Amino acid sequence: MTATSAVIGLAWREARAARRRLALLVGAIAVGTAALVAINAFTANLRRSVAGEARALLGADLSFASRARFTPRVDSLADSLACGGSTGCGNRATVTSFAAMAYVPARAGVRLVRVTAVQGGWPFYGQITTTPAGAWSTLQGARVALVDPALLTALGAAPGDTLALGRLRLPIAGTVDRVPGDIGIAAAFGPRVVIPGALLEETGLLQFGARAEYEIFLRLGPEQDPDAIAKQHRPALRPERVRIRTVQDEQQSLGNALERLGRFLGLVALVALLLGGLGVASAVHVFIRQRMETIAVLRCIGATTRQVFSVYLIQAAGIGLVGSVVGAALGLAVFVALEAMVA
Amino acid sequence: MLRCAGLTQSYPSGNQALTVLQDISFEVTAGEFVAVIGPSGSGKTTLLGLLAGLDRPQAGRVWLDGAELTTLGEDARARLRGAKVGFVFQSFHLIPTLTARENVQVPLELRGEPGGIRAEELLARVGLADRTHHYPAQLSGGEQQRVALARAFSTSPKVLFADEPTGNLDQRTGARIIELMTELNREAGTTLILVTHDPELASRARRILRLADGRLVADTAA
Repeated sequence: MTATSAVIGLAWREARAARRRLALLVGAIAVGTAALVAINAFTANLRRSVAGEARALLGADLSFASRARFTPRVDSLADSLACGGSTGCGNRATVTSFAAMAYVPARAGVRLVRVTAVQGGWPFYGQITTTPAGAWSTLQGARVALVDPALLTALGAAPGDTLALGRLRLPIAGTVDRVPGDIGIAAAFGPRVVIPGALLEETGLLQFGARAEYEIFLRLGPEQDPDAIAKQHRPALRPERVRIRTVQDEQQSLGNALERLGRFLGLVALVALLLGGLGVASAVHVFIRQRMETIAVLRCIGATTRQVFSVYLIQAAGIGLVGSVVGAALGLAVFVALEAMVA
Repeated sequence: MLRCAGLTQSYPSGNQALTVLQDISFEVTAGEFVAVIGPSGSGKTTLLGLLAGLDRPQAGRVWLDGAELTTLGEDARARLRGAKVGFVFQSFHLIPTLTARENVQVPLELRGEPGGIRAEELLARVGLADRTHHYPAQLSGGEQQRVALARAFSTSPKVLFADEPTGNLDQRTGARIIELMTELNREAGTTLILVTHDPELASRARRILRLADGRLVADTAA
């Protein structure tokens, strides 16, 4: 047996009899570490899922938005971008939305709604849930409308009823239940009515001076960098009052909020750990003070300063290590429980 | 074996220094049994601490087995104690969180030697073969002092310092401890320095050093 292993053995045996007090120290460290681990894991996971969902929030890689009809120049730019990728054309969708009055003749009900005319395969990413299922994909070729469930409730209408939008008459084919990135409260200002983009002109509602939001959504090839494209074209498009948005932009604005939340929670956990650390420090201080006689005896029977210091350093390091490992495990458990609760 | 010359020690007390030891010189040869006696406060324990290198004197020098303690640093003196010195104290001073066997083992382990078997042997020698796994709190005073004796002898020291080893024990138990100590001393050929104020105990020694007010006032062969 070497002197080193003797010191380790002594540290272990000397700690053994004071197990209950040591368990308290381990517990204090574990709780602080657990809080930190749980919060960090939770915010990291939140950030990761935001990154994963960001494309679905936009539904595309890149979007152009304008308050007026796009000029031919913007139109052809979008076309060239949509066809520039290796995936061919057909990666372009147009969404026009505006406020209008919807009328259901059978119920004699009128409501202010938000009309969304979709042309093309938007959304390219993410799923829109409808009732009946799959109604979204057949919308393009059909002469039907999909509406917000809130509209049916408000007007007492049912699928199959005819809906009038300006001069256009369409049967309600079903409801749009979930759109990624959509905020529930928006429906309160005007329930959504989705119609195929090809029928937009038939409504006769978009006259001179009509307030509408025009958007072009693009899906890009893997070799096209949406942010580089956005950066390149932004200056030229600014005079035309066309805004370019990318997944990164969406992610950033959402990410900033999460970042702040994460930092705040992290700070709380750190303060908790710091306070816990103070507690641990004073507890260790008392622990060592109680060991003074033992230390004196050890010195008396031939222990060097280094050996005595090592014995208690090993004990303190052991407490720290066990506390951290237990805390990390505890933190992960809390994180998993928290996730199960949120999901 | 053990020699000191001109040992002087004083502590600051209020504005003036309190002199505890003054100009103590003597020599002890190997295997001797020396008792240091004197009334309380005469400086016996202080002298013991200086001879064992636990403390440094203000003036004077100490040689232990050829090495001059007074020139050595803290750790060198600790190593020297581990190699050549054994201690027995009035209040036993066992490590409360270790078992009897582990307490006996510690001095050997600090030197990097396995102490298990030697500890068992020594505990058997002091009559505690069936108490090896007991903690100090589970042992009587006499038993604790016997463990302390086993610990002191575990490293086969050249010098054993005993500071009032029977002070906390009843007379019968104390007598047994002294018997055991002198036996072990004879067997191992250890030099024994015993501090006591008990004249009867001192009479067992072959030489008596009498201290009074920090001075060596008598050095007599018993």
